[in-house]
Amino acid sequence: MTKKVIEIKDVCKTYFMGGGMKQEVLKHVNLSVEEGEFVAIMGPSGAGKSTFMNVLGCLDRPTSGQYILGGKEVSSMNDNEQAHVRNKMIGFVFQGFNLLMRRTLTDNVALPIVYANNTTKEERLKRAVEKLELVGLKGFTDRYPNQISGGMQQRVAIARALVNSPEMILADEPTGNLDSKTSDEIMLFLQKLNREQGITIVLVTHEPDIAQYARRLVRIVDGMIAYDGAVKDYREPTK
Amino acid sequence: MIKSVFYEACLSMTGNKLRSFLTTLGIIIGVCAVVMMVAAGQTVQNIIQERFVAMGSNLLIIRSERPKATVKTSGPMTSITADDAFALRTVRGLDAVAPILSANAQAINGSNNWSVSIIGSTTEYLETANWEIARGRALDEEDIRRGTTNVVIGNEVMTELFPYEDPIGKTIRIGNQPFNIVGVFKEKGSSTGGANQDSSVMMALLTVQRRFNRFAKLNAVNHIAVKFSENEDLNIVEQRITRFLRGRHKIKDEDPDDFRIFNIAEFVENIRLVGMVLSILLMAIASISLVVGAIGIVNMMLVSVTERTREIGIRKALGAPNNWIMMQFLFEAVLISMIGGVIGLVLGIGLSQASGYFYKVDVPFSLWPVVLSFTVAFFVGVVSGVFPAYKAMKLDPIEALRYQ
Repeated sequence: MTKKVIEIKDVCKTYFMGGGMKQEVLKHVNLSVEEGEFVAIMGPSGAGKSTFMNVLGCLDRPTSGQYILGGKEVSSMNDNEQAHVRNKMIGFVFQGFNLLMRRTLTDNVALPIVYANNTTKEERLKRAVEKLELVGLKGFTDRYPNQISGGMQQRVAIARALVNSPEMILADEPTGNLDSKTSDEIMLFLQKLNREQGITIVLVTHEPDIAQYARRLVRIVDGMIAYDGAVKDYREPTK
Repeated sequence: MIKSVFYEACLSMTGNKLRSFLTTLGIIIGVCAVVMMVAAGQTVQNIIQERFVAMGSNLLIIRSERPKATVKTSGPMTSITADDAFALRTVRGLDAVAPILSANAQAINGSNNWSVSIIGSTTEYLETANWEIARGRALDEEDIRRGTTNVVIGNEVMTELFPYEDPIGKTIRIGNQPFNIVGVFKEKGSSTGGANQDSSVMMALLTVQRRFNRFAKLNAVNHIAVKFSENEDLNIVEQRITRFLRGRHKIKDEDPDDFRIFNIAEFVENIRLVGMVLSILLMAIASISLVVGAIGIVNMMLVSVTERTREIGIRKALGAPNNWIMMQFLFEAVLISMIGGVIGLVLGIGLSQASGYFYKVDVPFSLWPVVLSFTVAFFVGVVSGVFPAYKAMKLDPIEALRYQ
């Protein structure tokens, strides 16, 4: 039996505005993701995709409901505990790469290990260089992010996401800043990671083409899951 | 963790060199000013102290003092007389005893005139005052006993009244009375009290008592200067004098003294206190620039936090604990402040030594400005870093990541 990485039970997120107004962004969402899955989360803008991704990434807490990540209830944790969870269990890949511009690629990749705070500098650098080699950037270790292309930067970000051996990679529009050829490369690379190394990937995107690289598709509309199934079985709703 | 935080702080500080330098400059100027003011205060204190010590640590001044709550007498206090001074010579351990009566008058030679202070005393005055004759002779026993019109003039009186001629043997009018100049004092400079000793004129005590006495009493003196032997103990000498004078003045055991003995050690202590107050005052003024420097750091750190909002977001997303973020900014502030402190300290010591060299004064070098500037710089760093660091810590990672 495969292990459940994500278990989301009846999660709601409500924003309370002034004057008694409130906005329900997520309404009783249930989702479970097993180890080794490649899930794409799609949905029109304003459907609660970002909020859902923030909850998944432990950057935000649900108003109600449970979020169990890698067997731990994380939704009720405090800031520092959540920071620890983000550090150890989640590998982030962002749309804008989000590398530190004034650090070498090695330093960038090693940053999450610094926050894990249990290794020597040599060990950190060794692991960082290993991951850079894994994403095909051997020989670029001492470069700075502004000296390499966008596609390469995103690969550095993937290396950084992998460096603490997380439970899953959470990729938020990872190809949004890339041209279509580079996008394909990045997506193929993520697919390869998923297939060959069994790494769980949750991909948030609004592009159907990109979602095709995943195996399972979760579509969110109006804060609720409108579709959850294989990517190949999904048909765009006719307008 | 400390090492990594320190490394981060160094990197971000060197990232914007000009801005870091300008911010540090505020602290440099502040610490430099404080260090220099401390040095200035100490120097002034030392100079004053040196002068007093040069006067002799074995000098005592005896003044009249009206005992409290006794007979109310109008007029000046005149319990100490010239006779006391002559009698004191019998007390064991005293090298010189000089009764002193002073007055002020206008000295005139032809068309030149100069305001002088008159010292009326005895032959022993020169020894108690540590003063020497440059030209001519001092007043002798004969002058003192008979109260002659012979005078010894100060260096400045000579240069002002006799710019082109030798004053020895000349006649000078002081307070409209003719006097005969027999000698000139060595140049001495202003006394510690501020009076210019070189504009004084010395004559026999008897002469001042007869011709310039504002007190009706003939025997009146302002004070008695006593110089005791180097190998005598100050307290014992004071006790002897007290016992002797109480006996002479027939003071009952239960009554207080009608005089008071001042010693140089007491003066020096008072001067030290004044100097300390002066130092603290100067330091307080200099500290204002340090406060301004601290505000500079707060300002820079706040700008830095805003500028690096996105970076903070990335770090938080990657799992940086709150205290890590806080420490990173706090360290940066402390580092800037400490660097400013060190440079300011070196600059302050350098400048004060240089100006000491320039004005030919010995500027003391002490350790406590060093300790002080380090501690102050550290706390300035902490205090000015705490608010920006807290602000950085409190940033919401979602908002921070969205920040462009």
